[in-house]
Amino acid sequence: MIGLPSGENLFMISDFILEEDNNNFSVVIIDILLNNRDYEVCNRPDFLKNIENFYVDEIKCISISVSAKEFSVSFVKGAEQLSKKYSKPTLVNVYYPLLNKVDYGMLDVDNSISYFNIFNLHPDYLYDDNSHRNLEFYNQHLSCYKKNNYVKSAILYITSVFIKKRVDMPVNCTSVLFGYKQEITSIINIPYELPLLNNRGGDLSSISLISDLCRFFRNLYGIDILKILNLNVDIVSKINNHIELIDFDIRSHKTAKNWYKGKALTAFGVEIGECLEYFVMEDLVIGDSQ
Amino acid sequence: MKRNAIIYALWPINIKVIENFIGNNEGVTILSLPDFIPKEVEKIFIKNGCEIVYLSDLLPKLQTDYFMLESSTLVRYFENKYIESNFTKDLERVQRCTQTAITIVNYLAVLNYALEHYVICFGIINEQYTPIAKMISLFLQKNNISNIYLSHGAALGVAYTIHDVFHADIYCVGSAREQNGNNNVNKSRKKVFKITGLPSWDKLYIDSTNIHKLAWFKKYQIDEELPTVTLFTAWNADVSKLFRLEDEYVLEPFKLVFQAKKNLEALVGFNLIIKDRPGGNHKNRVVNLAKDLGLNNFFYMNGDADPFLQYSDLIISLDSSISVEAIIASNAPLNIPRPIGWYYGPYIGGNDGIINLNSDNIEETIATFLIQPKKRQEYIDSLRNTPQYYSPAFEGKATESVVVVMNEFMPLENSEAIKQYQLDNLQEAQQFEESGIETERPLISFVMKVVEEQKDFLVTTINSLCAQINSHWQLLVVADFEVFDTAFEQHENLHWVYMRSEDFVDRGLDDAVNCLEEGWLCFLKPGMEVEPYFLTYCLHYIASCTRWQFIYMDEGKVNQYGDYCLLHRRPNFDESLLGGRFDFGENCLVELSVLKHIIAESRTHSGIESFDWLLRVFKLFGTASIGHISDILVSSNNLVFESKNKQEKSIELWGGFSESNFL
Repeated sequence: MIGLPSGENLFMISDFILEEDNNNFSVVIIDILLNNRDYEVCNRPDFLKNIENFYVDEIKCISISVSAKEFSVSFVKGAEQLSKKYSKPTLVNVYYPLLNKVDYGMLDVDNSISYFNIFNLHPDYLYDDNSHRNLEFYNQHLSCYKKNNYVKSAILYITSVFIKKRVDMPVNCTSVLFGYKQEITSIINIPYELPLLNNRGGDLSSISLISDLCRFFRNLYGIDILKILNLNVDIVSKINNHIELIDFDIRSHKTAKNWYKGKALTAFGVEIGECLEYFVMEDLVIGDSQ
Repeated sequence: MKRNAIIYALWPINIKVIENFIGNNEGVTILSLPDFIPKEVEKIFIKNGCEIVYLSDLLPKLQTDYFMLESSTLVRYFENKYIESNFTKDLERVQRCTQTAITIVNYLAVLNYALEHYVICFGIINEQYTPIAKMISLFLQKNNISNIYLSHGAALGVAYTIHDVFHADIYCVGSAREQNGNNNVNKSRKKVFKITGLPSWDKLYIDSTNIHKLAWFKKYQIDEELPTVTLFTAWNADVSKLFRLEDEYVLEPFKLVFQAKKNLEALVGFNLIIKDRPGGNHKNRVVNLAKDLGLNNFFYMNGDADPFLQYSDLIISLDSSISVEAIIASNAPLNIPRPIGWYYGPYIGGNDGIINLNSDNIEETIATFLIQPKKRQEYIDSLRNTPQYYSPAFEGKATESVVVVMNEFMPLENSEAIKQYQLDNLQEAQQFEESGIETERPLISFVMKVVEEQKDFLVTTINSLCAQINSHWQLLVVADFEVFDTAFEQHENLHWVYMRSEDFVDRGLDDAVNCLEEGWLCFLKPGMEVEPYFLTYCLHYIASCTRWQFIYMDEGKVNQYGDYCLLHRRPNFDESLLGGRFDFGENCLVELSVLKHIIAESRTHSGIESFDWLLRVFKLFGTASIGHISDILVSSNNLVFESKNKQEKSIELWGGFSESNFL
C-alpha cells in the first residue's frame, strides 16, 4: 500500500485543497513508483499507452512502476498531454525520494502545481526505520483530519508551505497536479499563520504531527524542516522539547538493550540483562528526572 | 516415559484459561508459579490426571552448594556491572534488580531441570517485556519450544521502546485493530496472529442482568433513575520520558468532563463516576479539582472494571483498551486523547468510529446519547458491526478461543498411531507404484501463492514434493518476490513466476493457471507438507471417481516435535454444508479445463481461492462433482502463518459470499 489508499487520496484532494464535494470531483490519479525493487517496469511508450487506457475507460486510479533510471520529465509531460486531450484534471504522484534540485526540477512542468504530498511517505520502510513506529500510525494520525480541525490545519499548513517554498530539499512523494491550478493557487496564497496551532500555546495533535515529520526528515535526510515552516518561537520550542524527549527514550532503550552484551552475564544460555531491560529503562527515565 | 508439560505464566485474571485447558487435556503437567496460579485454586482445578508443579517447589532440590556458589558469583558480578553502568544512584533500585536477577537464575535452573524431565509442548505468557515473562520467553526461544503470547489489553498504540518485545511465536490478540497496529511485527518478524479476544472480557458477555445492575447501584448509593457516565482514568508509568508531556495536561480530561457535567446540568442530569485504576488513589487530586470548578456531585470509585462497563450508559476512556471493552459490553465508548497518545498512537483515528471528545463536541455528544437512546444504540451497533473490533469475546468465547490455540500444540493421544498408519499407507502405495498397474495419470500441477514473508515455508513444501514416490508432477510458485533458490533453475519440474505486488494480489493466480496446459491443479498453502504418497492417492481417486472435478481433503497440524496436535476431519460434500461457515480447507485439486473455464467467466477471489472454486464448480456441475479424500495427506506446522493480505481479504470477502446467490 502506498500511503493512504488512492480513494482516500482522492477524497483528500477534493476535501482539502479544492473543498469540493467528493462525488462531483473528477481527477485521474497516476501513481508512478520509481524504484529499483520492482522488476516489471515499463518504458515511456508503454506508460503512455497504459495511462491512456485509463482515461478512455474513465478509471480514476492507476499505479505504474517505472525504473528510477528510466524516469524523465517526459513521463510527466506525457500525463499532462493526456490530461489536456481528455480534459481531465490529473494528479501524478511520483514516489521516490528526490534528492536534489535537478530531480525535483524535472517535475516543474508548465501549468502544473507540484508539491510534497504529506500523505505518502513511500516507501513505508523508510518511515518505519526513521521514526521508530510503523506507517499505520502515521496514516492513523493523518486520518484524524476528518474530525480534528487542528490536524487538518496542520496538514494544510505544511502542504502550502511546501508548495510555496520550493527549496532544494528531498521529499518522498512529489505530486504534480494538472488542472485546478487557479483554485490551488488561490488557496496557497492565503497567508497561513496556522492560527489554530498558535492558540493556547499550541495543540498537541498538530504539534506531534509536525514533530514526527521533523524527526523523519532529520533522521533520513539530515534536514531541519522547522527552518522553513516559520512557526512561532513557543511552538518551535515545544516541538524541539518533544523531539528531545523521544530521542532520550530511544537512546535509553538502546542502552538498556546493549549494556550487558559481551559481559558474560548469561545463565543457562539466557542473558540476564536482557530479562531486566525494563528495569534499566525505568532507572534511566527516573534517574534523569531526579 | 516423560509426561507432556506446558509452561503457564498468565496473570490470575486469565485463570479460566488454565481451568478450561485442564478440562480439555489429560495427564498434562502444568509448570507454573503461585503468581500465576494461586495455590488456593490448585486443588480445585486438578482433574483428568493433570498436575500443577510450581517451579518454586522444585527449586530446593536443585540448590546444591555448587549451584549456590555459582549462581551467587554470577549475580554478584552482575550487580557490580550494573552499578558500574551508573543507571541509578538509588541503592534500593539496584537491589531490586539484583533480587530479580537471583530469581531469574533460580528459575532458569528449574526450567532446565524441567526440560530434562518433561516434554514441554509450549509456554504461554502475558507482558513479555517484564522480567519473569521475558526470562520464560527467552528460555523457550533458546530451546525451540513454541511460545504463545496472550495480550493483556486491546493495545491500540505503538509498542514503543521497552514494550517493543516480540520474542513469542504466536500472538493471541484482542481484535484485528490490534493486529493492524502490529503490522510491522507481522511482516518483518513473521509471527502468527490469532484474534481470540481476551479471556477477561468473557465476563462482560455473561453478567449483564438487570438484577445485578440494581443491586450495584444500591450498594454504592448511585441514583438508578439517572443515566450514568463513567470516566476511566489512566496514569503514567516510568518507562518513558515522553510521559513528561502529561505533567501539565494530566488533569485536563477531568476538567473537560467536570465542565461538561456542570454546563449540562439544566439539560440532562446524570451520575458522573470517576473510576480510578486498580491500585491507584488519586482521589484528592480529583476532588480538589472538582471543588475548584464548583462541582461536588460526582462519585470517585475504584475496583473491578466490569460493573462500570456493564451498568454505565456512556464510557469515557483516556486512550485505553477500555474503549474496546465497552464495545464488547455493548456499551457506548467515547475517548479523550492523551498528549502522549499523539506519539504512541493515535489510539483512535479518523476511521476508527469511536468519537474523540474535545471542548467543542463533548457537551453535544453526551447530551445526544443520553437524551436520544436510539442514537446511542445506533452508535453502539455501528461499532459492533465494524469487523476490526470483532473477537470471539462478543459471544463470551475468548477463553475457549485461547484454549483452542493452546490445544494446537498438545499432541493427540493417537498421534503415534496416526504416524504408524501413514507409514503403512506409504508401504502400500510403494507396492502399488512398483506393481506397474496402468492407470490414467494426468499431470498434477502444484500451485502455491507466496508472499515474501512466507519465503521460509517453501523449503518444507518443496522437500515433501521431492519425496513423492510418483514423479508425475510439477510445481509453480507464484510470488511477489524474485526466485531465491537455485533449485528452480536446476529442476525442470520447478517453476517460478514473479509478479509485482499489485498484480500478484488480484490476478497473479489466474494468470499462472492460464499458463498450465492440462491435467489437474493442486492448490497448496505455503508451508504445507504433503505425504510421500500424496500423488499416488490423488491419482487413484481421480482415476476411480470420474465425476469429481474439485477435490478437498483432510488436514493435520503438527508441533515442533512432529507430533499430530490437530486433525481437520471433514465430512463428505453435501449441499447443506454450504449453508454454514464450513471450513473446506485451503488445499484442493481442480480439473484444469474446468478451472480455466470458471476463471474465464470471472477472476478468482483472492484470499479464499479454494472456497471460491468449490462454489463455482458446484454451481456448474452439482454435488457429485465435489469430491473429498478422507485421509490426512497434508499437514502443516502450527507456526505457519497467513499473509496479512490473505487474512484481510478473507474477512472482507466472507460476508459477500455468505450472502451471495450461489445457492
